[in-house]
Amino acid sequence: MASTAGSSVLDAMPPDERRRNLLKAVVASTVGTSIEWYDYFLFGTAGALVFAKLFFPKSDQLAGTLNVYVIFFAGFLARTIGAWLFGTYGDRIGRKATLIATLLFMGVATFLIGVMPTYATLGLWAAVILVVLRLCQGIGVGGEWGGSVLLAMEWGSRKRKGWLGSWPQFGVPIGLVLANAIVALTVTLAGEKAFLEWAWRIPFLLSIVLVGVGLYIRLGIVETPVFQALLKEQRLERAPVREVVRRNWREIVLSALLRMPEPGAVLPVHRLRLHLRRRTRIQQTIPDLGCKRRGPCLLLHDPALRLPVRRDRSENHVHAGHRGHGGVGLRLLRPVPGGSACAGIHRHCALLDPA
Amino acid sequence: MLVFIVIALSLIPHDMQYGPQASLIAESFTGRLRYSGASLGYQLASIIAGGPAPYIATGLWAGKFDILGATFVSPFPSKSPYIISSYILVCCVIGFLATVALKDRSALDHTREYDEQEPMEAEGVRRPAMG
Repeated sequence: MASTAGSSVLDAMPPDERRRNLLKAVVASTVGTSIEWYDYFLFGTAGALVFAKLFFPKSDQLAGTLNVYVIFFAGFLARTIGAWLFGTYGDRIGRKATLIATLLFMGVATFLIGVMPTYATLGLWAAVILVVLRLCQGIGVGGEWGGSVLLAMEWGSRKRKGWLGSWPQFGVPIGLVLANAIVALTVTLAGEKAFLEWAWRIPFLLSIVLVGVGLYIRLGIVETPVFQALLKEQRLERAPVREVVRRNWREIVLSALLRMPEPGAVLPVHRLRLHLRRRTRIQQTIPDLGCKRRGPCLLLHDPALRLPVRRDRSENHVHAGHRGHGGVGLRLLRPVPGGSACAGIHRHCALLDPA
Repeated sequence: MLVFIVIALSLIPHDMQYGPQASLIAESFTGRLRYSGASLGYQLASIIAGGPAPYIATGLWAGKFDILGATFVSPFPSKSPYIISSYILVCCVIGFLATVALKDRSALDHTREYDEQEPMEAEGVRRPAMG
């Protein structure tokens, strides 16, 4: 059989060099993804507390409308744009370069949010620029996921690719917990008044430090064997997005559809948050308790659950996931009575950007 | 407290999917198209699944949908807790069917282009068992 092989690159490598590269790849993908999710979730947690007041004042109707669009487009459109844009580069110039680009893209956008002049100084333009920066964050996170999964997976053997690929998924809870913890800490240390005035910028500015760490780690990785082989044999696709849509549209649609049960995780957390707001009468002070709970839960479960999934991913996926969801969904989800849910929903969308 | 526990428990099955999902999606595409294909597949879900979920759930509960100023009346009974559960259940069924329909390529060598592994695909690749 013609050997195209990434495996030839893998096989040619001494075992401990291989192991070292694999370890580096997994660390780089998990750490980097965690940082990107920190940036992404930060907008929801810190942002929900202060952005409405500082960037979208009620007096300006246009700014108010923008606020809704932020939520809408950042979550949906921008991430797909990111997938398209960075997907192209990931298949053309390599996983490593693209992962460095997404991290930088995200880091710069987040940092700029931290130094933004507010509506008070810049008027409507402040709101517009904030929307654009949020779009950039969405694009960054949209490009990140594929790359970090590929980085971890393509360094591994066939038997372990499932387990390896699940590591970057771990970045979601890490980022979530980190974002909430740092925002909560800032609120506690600086006080509520100062947080609203200037201290909300700290978590955003802090991101540049994290991104620096992430970049340092990512610069040290070696390109995946799969891409090395593609490069060597000059088999790179010129227009990978067009080609993959033509050849594999079925797989793309099915991949998107298999994530349909996502509302099963999104909605209970919403429900929890609404419940908390009502019960504790905490309106704005404590950021996002719901997310705080969800974070540790995911943190706990994720590693444990990775164990049984090394083989038969699709079966596991079918059995465990969907059946469980359905059952729990039916028992649990009694929405909060009418009005409050409706009123809160825009803000909640901003708070909980689905992973 | 009960709510916390139940929600924490409900996230277990979610994460049981979320872990393997990554490789399941990524290994569906051959190496030279993998970054593009996997990214598009994964991120498109935020348009159809996670993203609009709160809007849909709220709309179902309230019995009407407000989309950019226009109002649509929901054909389903409103103010029933089961309507939201049913929505999630429908999502799960769609997800289930999609997972079954997606060809299992875990037996293929992901470090080599899939085009060259056709014979192996014919004999070695299983579809996931049902049920």
